[in-house]
Amino acid sequence: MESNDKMTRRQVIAGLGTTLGAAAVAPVFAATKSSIDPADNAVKISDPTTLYPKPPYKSQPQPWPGLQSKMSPVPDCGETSYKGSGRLMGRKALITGGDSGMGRAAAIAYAREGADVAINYYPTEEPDAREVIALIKKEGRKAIAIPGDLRDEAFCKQLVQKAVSELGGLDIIVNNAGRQQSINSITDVTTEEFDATMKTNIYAPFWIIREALPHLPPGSAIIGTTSEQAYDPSPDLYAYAQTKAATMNYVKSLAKQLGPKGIRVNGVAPGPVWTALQISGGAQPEKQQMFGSWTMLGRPGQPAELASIYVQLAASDASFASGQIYGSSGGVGQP
Amino acid sequence: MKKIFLIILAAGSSLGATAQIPQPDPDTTAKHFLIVASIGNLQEANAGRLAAQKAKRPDVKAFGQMMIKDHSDAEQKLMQLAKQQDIGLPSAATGGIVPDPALKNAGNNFDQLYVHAMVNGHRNTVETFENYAVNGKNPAVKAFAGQMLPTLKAHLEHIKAIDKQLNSK
Repeated sequence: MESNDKMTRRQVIAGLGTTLGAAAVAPVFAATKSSIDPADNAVKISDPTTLYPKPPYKSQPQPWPGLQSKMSPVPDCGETSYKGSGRLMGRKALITGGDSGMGRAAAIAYAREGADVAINYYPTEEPDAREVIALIKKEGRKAIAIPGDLRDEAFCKQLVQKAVSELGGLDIIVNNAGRQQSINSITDVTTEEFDATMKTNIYAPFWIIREALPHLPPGSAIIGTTSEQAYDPSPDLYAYAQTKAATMNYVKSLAKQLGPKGIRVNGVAPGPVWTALQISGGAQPEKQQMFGSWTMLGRPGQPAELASIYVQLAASDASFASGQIYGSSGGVGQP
Repeated sequence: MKKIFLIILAAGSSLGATAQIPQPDPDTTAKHFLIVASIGNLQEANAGRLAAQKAKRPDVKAFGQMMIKDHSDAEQKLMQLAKQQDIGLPSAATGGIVPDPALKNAGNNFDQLYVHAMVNGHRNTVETFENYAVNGKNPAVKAFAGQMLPTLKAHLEHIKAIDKQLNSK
């Protein structure tokens, strides 16, 4: 009797394991007459060239920084499509530029993978940010909105402090916010413009990582959004492109520096992605209308198509990836 | 064999600088070319209107006015051609151009900004038209591209000359 009780208790404690074990075994025995048809859960594959709208797009300039909710078409950040599977359960993430574009796609994906998320954005992007906060909360995760200007060192420090205290910790940083202004000639680049680009794209990530480091436990992940521009810059993106090269480079140097601390640092290098960056001065008017037409898929990427990269680089099972740059550019562009 | 290999290698590496808007595959349809050309026309005419109003230098103003005329004419021809060839162009490519804020909001640096945009823009346009004129498959569209080329090249030389003047002051 006693031994039966012990076995029962052991089974109860290991209950989950045995249930899973049973589930794994079942299909083999049920092969011939299973009521669960494997084809029901098959992943649908589709032709990437037809997944999203192709250019030409309407001429639609907006003043910087631009709202994606006003774009036509509105960028797809995975709002209706991204399905998580607990890959980031309990993680705590800070994402800059999390109101729109790839930052938004990462925020939505992280929340759906079980993470609590703090997003930073420029104050006038509040309408876009509200949508993201609502989507994170819908997943039952903590959603923290921290608007502010990344060009200010004091704000960057406050940003990290607020994220750490409201999330109750921090183990993922996505330095994604970027300033991109297309200017045909270096003689037309003002010092103010150059400075704004450097501050947003190079200084802010530096200030944020430096402030956050004492709080990041081993196993944390830092991700920087770089670009194919780091490898083959466009002539009209003199200021922006060099910041993307700098990002690609800091990913590699910090990966070396922080590797012994168990902190992984990686980068994402998108090709042309349809975001508010491109309609708020980031591309020349003709290029904006034909955006992405030069890729092998005949269209720009949508932020949703990069979300899984941000998840992958943050996930703990990517434990050997550090100093890597993962590209996504529709068949053209490096890496 | 080695010689042939080296020749091919040399030929490949001479495919110098590429346009800012990388060019369509010549196998791509005439439709793609007409879309790009139409957007080009409308954007040039639009920017030209701004220049006619805002430019300080008379040669830049005059260039702007020429853009309005030449590109509106070209656009008419293009639309006729598209109709003839039964090629439907999406509305985003045939209208609704919003003026470039960078130019609209430009102050004293308008002339410079405009001229630099025109130099790059026309370089791209000439490449696009040359590409189709040489490699295109639709004979009527190919002929159109060939017809427009001399004017476009003249525009490019003209604006490059103005650019040189701007920089030499």
